[in-house]
Amino acid sequence: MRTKYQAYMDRQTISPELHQRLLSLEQRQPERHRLVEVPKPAPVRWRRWSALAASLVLVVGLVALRSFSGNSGAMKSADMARTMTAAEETAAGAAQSADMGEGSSMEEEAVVESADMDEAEEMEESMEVEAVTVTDAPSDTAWTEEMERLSPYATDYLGDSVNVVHIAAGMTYPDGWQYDHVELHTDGAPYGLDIWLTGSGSADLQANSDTAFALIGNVEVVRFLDAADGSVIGEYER
Amino acid sequence: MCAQESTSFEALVRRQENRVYRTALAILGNVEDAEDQTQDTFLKYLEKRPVFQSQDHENAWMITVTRNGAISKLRLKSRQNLPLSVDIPVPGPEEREELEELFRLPPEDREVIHLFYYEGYSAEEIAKMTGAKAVTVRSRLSRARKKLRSMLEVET
Repeated sequence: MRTKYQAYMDRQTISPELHQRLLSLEQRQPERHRLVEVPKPAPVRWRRWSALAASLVLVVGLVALRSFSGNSGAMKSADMARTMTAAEETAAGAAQSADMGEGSSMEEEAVVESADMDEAEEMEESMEVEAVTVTDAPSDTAWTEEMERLSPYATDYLGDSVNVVHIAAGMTYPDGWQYDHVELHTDGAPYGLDIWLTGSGSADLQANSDTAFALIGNVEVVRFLDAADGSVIGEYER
Repeated sequence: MCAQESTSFEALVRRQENRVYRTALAILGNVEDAEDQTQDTFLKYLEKRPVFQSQDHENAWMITVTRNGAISKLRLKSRQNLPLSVDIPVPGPEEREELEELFRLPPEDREVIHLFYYEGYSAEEIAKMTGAKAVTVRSRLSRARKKLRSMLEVET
């Protein structure tokens, strides 16, 4: 025995035309359904090169600093440490590091007491360590901060929809784009996360995908789609 | 595409086309959108080529993909401030009133009704497929039974 609802639905069948269209899908994909193949962005190697350049400039600056023995080390070293901190936070990391030269010229006027030399050398060593680590371009710092902010929602499983939504909704997206909703593809491997956005303009979503991969343990593919027309803005694989 | 794969896709279409279409119609409430979603579901299959462990697995996959796509379409229309058109095939006036009552329900309620009363899934299974809590599914079913008693009772 069937309910009226069941009897009604039993009568709803697809048209012969739709049936033929479905069968022909294998041979062709309709234009409007063709996914836009977005090439993977090239690896961002410039960060490494800028880091190397910043390190070299710092080392040169430190060598110059050493050559002006007689600086009142602790104070000037602190100034230079602050300069290096600024280098971490701005895109012109290498240029900021080059400002070390100015610090060096200041030190020419300084009167150094021998008692301060040990302390100065100690500061220089720590600055050298910092010099090696002053590699971050500003976007890395912002990304790190975002990671810290979203890390309470980190999860091993894409199916953990509550935390996944927190992560996707909490990310900072490129100018002109906002989070809309997510779709989770957990039926089988590869496990995929579709993040739908609204907005317009160009969008580099590499950092956002990095965040997703870092915070969602088993997601393998992250796609960003335009909610207006369903086109793929970016697709990234782990 | 080899002949064997083509045959198996054809077999899948024949097995699932009506299930997919009916699920889409239940959620979307109009034939045109339901046909669009049916096509989208099979395209998704061709894209993903999932390997099914059983017939139940295949059925559940097709339904889940269909409902996800249908819900996305509804959200998109809602954001675009487009009216949600209800255009359902109805043979007679007596049935029209009941069906209009059904399709006045929110899509989330219609989805649950269809999965429970037509596809035969339990509330827990529906909760898993839709991402809702089981208690939410049960409350939607209870509400639907009150409004659509004659439609959802077994005919004698």
